[in-house]
Amino acid sequence: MSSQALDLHDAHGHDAHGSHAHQFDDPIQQRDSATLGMWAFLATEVLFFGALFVMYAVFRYRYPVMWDLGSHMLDWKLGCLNTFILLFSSLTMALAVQSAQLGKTKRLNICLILTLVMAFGFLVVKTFEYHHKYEESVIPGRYFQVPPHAIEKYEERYGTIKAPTAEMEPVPQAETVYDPMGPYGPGPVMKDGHVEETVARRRCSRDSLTTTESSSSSSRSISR
Amino acid sequence: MSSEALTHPAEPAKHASAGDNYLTNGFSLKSWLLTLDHKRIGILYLISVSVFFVIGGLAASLIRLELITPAGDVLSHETYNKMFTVHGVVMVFFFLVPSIPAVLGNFLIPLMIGARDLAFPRLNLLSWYIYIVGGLFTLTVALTGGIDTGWTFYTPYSSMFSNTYVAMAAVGVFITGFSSILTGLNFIVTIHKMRAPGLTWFRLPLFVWAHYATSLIMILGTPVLASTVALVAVERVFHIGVFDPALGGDPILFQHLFWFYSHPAVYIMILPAMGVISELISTFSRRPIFGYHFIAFSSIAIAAIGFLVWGHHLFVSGQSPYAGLVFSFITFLVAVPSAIKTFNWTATLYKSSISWDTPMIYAMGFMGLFLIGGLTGLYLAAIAIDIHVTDTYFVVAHFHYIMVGGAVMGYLGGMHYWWPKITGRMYPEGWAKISAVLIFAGFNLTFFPQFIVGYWGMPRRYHTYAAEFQVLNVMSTAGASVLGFAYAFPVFYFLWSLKYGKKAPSNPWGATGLEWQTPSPPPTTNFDEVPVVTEEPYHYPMLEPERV
Amino acid sequence: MLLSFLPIPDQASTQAVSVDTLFLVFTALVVFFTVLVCVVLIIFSIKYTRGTKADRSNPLDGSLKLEIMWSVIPLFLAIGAFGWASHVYFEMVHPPADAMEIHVVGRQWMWKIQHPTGQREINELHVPVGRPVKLTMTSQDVIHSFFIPAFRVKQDVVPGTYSQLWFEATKPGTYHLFCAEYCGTEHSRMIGSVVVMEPQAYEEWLQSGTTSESMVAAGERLFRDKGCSGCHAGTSSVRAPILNGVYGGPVPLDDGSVVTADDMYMRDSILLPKKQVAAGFKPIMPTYQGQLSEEELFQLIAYIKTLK
Repeated sequence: MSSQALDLHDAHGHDAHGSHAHQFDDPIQQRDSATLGMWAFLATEVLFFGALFVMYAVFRYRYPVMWDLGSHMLDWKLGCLNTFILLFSSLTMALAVQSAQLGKTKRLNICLILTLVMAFGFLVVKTFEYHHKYEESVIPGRYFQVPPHAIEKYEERYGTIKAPTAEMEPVPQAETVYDPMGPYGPGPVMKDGHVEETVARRRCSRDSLTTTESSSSSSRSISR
Repeated sequence: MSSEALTHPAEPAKHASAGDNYLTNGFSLKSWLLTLDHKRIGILYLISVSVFFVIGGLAASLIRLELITPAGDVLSHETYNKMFTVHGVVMVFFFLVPSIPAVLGNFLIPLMIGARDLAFPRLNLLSWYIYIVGGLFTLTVALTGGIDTGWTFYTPYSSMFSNTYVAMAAVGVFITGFSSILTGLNFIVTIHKMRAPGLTWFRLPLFVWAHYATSLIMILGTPVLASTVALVAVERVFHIGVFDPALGGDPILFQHLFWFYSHPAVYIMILPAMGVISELISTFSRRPIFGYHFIAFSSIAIAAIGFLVWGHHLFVSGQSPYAGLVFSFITFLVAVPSAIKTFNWTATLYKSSISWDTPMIYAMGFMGLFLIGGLTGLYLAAIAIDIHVTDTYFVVAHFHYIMVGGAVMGYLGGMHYWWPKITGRMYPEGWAKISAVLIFAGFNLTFFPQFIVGYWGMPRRYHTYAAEFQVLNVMSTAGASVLGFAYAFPVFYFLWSLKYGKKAPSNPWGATGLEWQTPSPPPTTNFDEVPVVTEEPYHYPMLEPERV
Repeated sequence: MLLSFLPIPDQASTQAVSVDTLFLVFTALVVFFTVLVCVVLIIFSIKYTRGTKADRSNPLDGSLKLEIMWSVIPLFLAIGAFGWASHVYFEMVHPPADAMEIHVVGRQWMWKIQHPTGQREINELHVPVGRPVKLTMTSQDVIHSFFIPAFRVKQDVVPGTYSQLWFEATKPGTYHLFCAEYCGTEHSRMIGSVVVMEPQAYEEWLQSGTTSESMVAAGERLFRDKGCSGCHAGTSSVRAPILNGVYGGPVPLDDGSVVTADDMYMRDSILLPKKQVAAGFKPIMPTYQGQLSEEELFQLIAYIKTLK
């Protein structure tokens, strides 16, 4: 985006061609090219977010209850405020461009400052939102927790949650015999001949922010 | 017919300063690294894709070396897996996708349409830098431990299980994607808005048409790949369940998103090669291309249909059989525009006057290999057969026939054809012919046995394999050594020609097309005056029977 | 066999014959077109090389007739090929109702197989000849792919879901079993063999191994031990659906939709009980995520299937 804007003011060749970059014949061709380039760029953006929208649609379809629950954990007032800030800053930015074209420096400055102020405002609102989430441990990854008020909401709508790990007996450990010379190589072999699961799921340890233990079943059952 | 008129139909009369061309316009490193000249950026790409080709090729040789015997005796499992991943990632994302568009397309599109440069020269340079940054990321991963997911990054293996630096490699691919997006965007705007007066859409060289179709895929497909690999990295680093079922994700969703780009990406690789072949066949047979409109529109048709066939990579993944049928049917339809191109190229030779220069040998080689590669694609479109051959060496052979037999032959043919224009030097024709024939032979010896071993059931990405597959694997490795040897030739004689090659005239092949109307190498501004086009493309003089 | 000189691998299932026939016809078509184009190319190349004497008068720059011809003929051939291939495919995709069911669990890097009678195998699959066999498969880690080249069948085995594959072996013998989807370091070691036996020999083989409880019996035990019967048995005080006769039938859900109670529905009901709640019941069932191994799930489902 910004690079196109740079091209418009390509100093290279200014002397020979006046107000347009050297590769163009005239300013009209230059403007047409910039416009088409911008539309093409927008097309790439649509596709870029397209994959994310597809992901959103798939998971919303698969986990409608989770989505419903999730929606209650959002603060619609702050969200509304931020949407307004976002849209209004677009307006002030567009006005700033217009002022620049008309040469109205004072209005240009006011609009730019307003846009900047709103940019900070947006970040301030986000800070509040994220801070709140962080406090409740609604963060991606293994430290994710469903906050108590969301559980209440959930039970109100969908019935009580029984915490499975608390009430149920753990899976009983099968009695194993170790048979290093067995048909399947060294490894614990069950009495009836099959190799039992003792090897933990081979989870990656690189690239992770957190060190991974052998199984992530505990965090999994909570995130469900 | 006098050969004079044929070889120099449009020699420009004079140039203000004959020695002043884009190569002599500054010799400092800075004048190259900060250049905005599309021709110099093309050279920067030429150097970088060549380096990546060598890296990918070395990985391939280790793979073939390992596969001489059924046991894993040269490399360990881990190393072997890293080798085929490096080979795939580097060859696909850092060689094949940028090869023809970013080197030849960059250099030639403005020349072919009579423009002084691409529409956005800075964006063009930025694309190269993005490509380099992405490449450095990937190379760092390759050198500091490698990545073992295969170039397809299938989840949940890549996102949760692999113990290699997947996230960093994903970032490398993500970054490089934007290079390709920006290049495509630049080409589209340039082709739309910067054509010389009189150069209507249907007077454009087919090379430009092919690049237009390619650019459409680049700007519409690549963003999806970028966000998909970003999601893989996010799942890996933050454990957000997107693709891993243990975290509530859907592993098949990844395959849909990945192939939505990566199948059209095959057309990113082959369409520009088809554009090159159209130019070569017309030039060396002295005939206007047969069925110009059909070839032009078949490129667009391939690009459009190519977006609707991704599901044929998922026939055995458990997707709905009815979805499979739709994808299978559309895949069969892609055969039609490809057939149209092949038949039109063949018909162009009718009553022509063929000159067997090196580029023409590559063009003929391309035709043969593309024919086999394209037709074997039909087996994979038929679900019943695909179930047996998918994920075996049959698929490996098929896509190498398209990507190496097609795209690389097209790339090398194009390099030989435009080398005199790019460097102003002629290469030694004898050596070039020998290497072209060797490449063709070595290629077939390498990949044809893989069709058979694939049908016998040898799965791809196997480090060790069953003993009965050995004979064919040995043949394949023998072919690969011929191929590797033959690929080394052009590197040497191209470099040799830079200093010792005969000086090239502006139009050594007697071709039409605006790029041949400027001196070789072209001046920085391409044309002293904006050319005006008044003729149809490939307007070769009528061949008179009694005089030829 | 007449075509035995062709490099066709072992044909050991009913599908193998139809797939190979299709493959050979495709090959004939491919060879025909390759030869056609190559011969024309070679003739033109020789005849019209520069310097040779040839009639070059009245050349063609294009011809709508030819273009239509060489677009429409490939189009119809492609549609025909599609029709035939799809027909073969549809026969391959629907298992016969009387197929015997064997369960497969894939993991890095082995195949774990359990027969209905309870026998377990690793990296080996014994099947009788001449009897349709249906494999219900899942993976406990990454995606694998169950591939028997001699049967011309292959199916990805995806974690978190069940996939199916069926075949009818026609020739006794031992055949390769491969994992075809790249699954990590020792992918190429995730191999085994499929042993096709005469029905008599298969029965004997079933008897010979260490006796273990059948899948249904194991499922029944789990149904008790894991507390399923506490709610889902008729005498329970908790209101939970009685599972008799549920399998295979329609289940009306809480949200008004109706689903078929297949294996996948059973699995989801056990692991994700809140996802699809049967109409008229409270979503009070706890999840069994992490409580049951993939094999145990198979056994439990096998037991629920028998409840009539």
